[in-house]
Amino acid sequence: MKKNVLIIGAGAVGAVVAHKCAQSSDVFASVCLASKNVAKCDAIIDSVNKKNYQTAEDFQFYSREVNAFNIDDLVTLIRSTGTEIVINVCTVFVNMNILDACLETGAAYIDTAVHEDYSVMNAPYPWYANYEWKKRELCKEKGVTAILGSGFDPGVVNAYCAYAQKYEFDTIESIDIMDVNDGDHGHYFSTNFDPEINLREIIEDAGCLEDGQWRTYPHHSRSMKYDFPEVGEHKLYLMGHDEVHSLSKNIPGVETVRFWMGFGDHYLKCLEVFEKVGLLNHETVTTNNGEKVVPLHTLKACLPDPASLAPRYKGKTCIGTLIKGKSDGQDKELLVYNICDHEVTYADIDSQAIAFTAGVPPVAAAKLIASGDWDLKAMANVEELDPIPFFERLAEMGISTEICDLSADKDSPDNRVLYA
Amino acid sequence: MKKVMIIGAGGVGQVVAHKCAQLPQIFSEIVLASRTESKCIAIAKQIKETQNRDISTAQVDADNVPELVALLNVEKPFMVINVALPYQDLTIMDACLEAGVHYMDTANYEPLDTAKFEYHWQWAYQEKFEKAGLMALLGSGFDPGATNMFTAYAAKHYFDEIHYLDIIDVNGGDHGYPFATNFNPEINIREVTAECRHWEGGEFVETPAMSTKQEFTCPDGVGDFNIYRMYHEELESLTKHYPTLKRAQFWMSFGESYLKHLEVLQNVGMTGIEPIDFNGQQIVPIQLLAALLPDPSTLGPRTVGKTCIGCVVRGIKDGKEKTVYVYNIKDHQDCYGEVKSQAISYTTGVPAMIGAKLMVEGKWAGAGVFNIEQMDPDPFMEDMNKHGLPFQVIEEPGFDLI
Repeated sequence: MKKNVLIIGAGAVGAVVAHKCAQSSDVFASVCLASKNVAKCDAIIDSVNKKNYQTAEDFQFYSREVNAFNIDDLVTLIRSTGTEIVINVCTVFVNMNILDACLETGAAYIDTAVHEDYSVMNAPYPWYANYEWKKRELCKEKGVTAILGSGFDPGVVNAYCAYAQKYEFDTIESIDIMDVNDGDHGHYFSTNFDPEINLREIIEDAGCLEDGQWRTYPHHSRSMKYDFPEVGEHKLYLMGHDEVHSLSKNIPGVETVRFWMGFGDHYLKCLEVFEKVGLLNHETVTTNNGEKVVPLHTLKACLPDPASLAPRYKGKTCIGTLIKGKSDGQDKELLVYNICDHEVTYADIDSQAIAFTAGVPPVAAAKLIASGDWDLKAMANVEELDPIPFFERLAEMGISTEICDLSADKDSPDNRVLYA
Repeated sequence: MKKVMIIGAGGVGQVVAHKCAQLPQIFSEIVLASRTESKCIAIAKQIKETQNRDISTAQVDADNVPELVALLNVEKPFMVINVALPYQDLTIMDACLEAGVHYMDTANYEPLDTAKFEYHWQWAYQEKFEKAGLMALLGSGFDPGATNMFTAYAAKHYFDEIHYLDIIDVNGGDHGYPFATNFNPEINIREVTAECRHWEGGEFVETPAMSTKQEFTCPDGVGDFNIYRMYHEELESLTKHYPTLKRAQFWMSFGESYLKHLEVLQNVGMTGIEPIDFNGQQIVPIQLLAALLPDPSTLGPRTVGKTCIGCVVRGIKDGKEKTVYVYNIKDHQDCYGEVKSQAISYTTGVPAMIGAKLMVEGKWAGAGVFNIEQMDPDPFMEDMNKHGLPFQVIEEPGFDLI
């Protein structure tokens, strides 16, 4: 039976999800794209229609308006559309509302980022326990499937860990997730997704598990260099990130879990200025004219719309997980990774690689729920699920998985393509 | 002993009022006028507290000539000290002509809609002032003002002919904020981003903004600074009145942090003056920025360090090449202690008082429009020493300037 899918969120990632769902009418009977701004949904539907994908004859693709802050509104939408799978790529402040609506209606739930409270910075460890995991028992009781953090990071990088645990290691000691964008969008400054979320998260304290202890550091206070396949050497900074919180709980015996993101000097200069001037604050200030303004909103309004970056983006992203541990009593070191080219993703579905890599994995998860592989009738983070069918679905949709064994000789590592 | 009217009650107006009040034998009566009279009253109260002297205040719209004339006719001052906005120079000059009052200012007229620092609008008043038998003295602040006088003083006493002039304005003050502007951020930013012009080979040469810089070591331990070549209005009048100048340049110091902030904020559009839309709310970015940045008027108490502004003059004396550096160093905290304002306002306000004093005393007189360097520099320099801005002269300073 083909499934009815509801996508909530019509940003850059929502557009990717929409395109990929439209390319998957063999699995999905209908797709509803919903947002508080229905015009954005219709613009995405137009862009999908322009692509003339080969879709099944009875495939339906339409838009709805929804206020995701209102659970009743969400429940009504899910019921009236006959939705069986909800893909939440909306702002993270509404995750729990959408999950509650799924619990109410029995629809399966997929998201790509952990819930946040707008007024709370530096939420306590582990993030998932503050909101989502509190609903774990209820999901099981009601038989509702909820896949948490099924984007790229978190998401695919968690699956890399699951794969390593299952097939490559006897014990995993450390996990370093590394995310670098070697692309150039040609603007003086731009975030790659919603500046309000992005600029918040990068100035939060960097939390990580090290030597079995949870530790936090001021943002951008720890850095390292790493020489990546294809995109070369980049400087990376320790950052707090969703998957660190779940992997440190779900990978048995792991002592160290860290997340690193690549930042150029120019980006950091801009960030420093924004922060010092107070532009990243989300508390209201009053101007001389008596106007009440949120500084971060003004900055967001000044910056390029991330959805507009795709046509001029050049270069590639490389996101991978460096895993160290023991296999047959020997030290082992693996990099499991993906390279994604901005121009290739643009040619495919009019999106840049960062939105692409975040938006394809939840569609893969939806397909696996539809096929039964991941329809576990319970809540799970991605590392708790079988990674192999996930890699297969990802590869079909343009995200390959490569693996590089660094144990023997770091200068000439054994590189192979797992799924492409 | 004469009555004067000060128009403008900003940072500079405050310094001028304080300094004039210190000289009751020159300025027998002082009227401080501004669009916002409460600002004048606050300054009058400060002066009453620190000097136990009364000055009077008035409300006036300096854009409105009849209103200005009416006030001048009531008060009948000897002269107006104009430290209002540069956009208002011409209306105040018109009012002075009509009321038969002498005129003095510290910055040249600028049209409201274009950033043009040019004297021609004010020079065009030459005949009117001459016929009326009135004097209009232009640019009696620090730069322009003291820098023109330093040049004139060097030319008079150290040279037969001057050939090269470098005006160097260093603000070595530190207010402890990562970024703040000393005055209105919009005007600050406009000045820094304007195309650079300097005089060379008989004409003004244009170069991109902030494209030429060098390091300069200030004397007396003030420190090392990066100075950037930019246009400044005294270059126009000095090259006119000293036609022997082969080259004249103006340099100003900027800190790396200041320039970094300016570059980023400007490039992302945070200095924009047009409203932008956020979910239906119309926001003017520069207004938000102004709300976030420290209020320029609060910098005074926390600014430490010194300003060092001077002129490096090269020329010929008795057939031999020589170089002379004339400069003043002023400590921010000394200024704050004396007149409750930092050195940027102080160094502008004191020369304004001195220019007015010399006019009141009749040491500087004439009918027409004059730039300050057309006056005898000696009494001005003497008063700089007496009234808080002592100057130094170094012959052959050994600078290695480009």
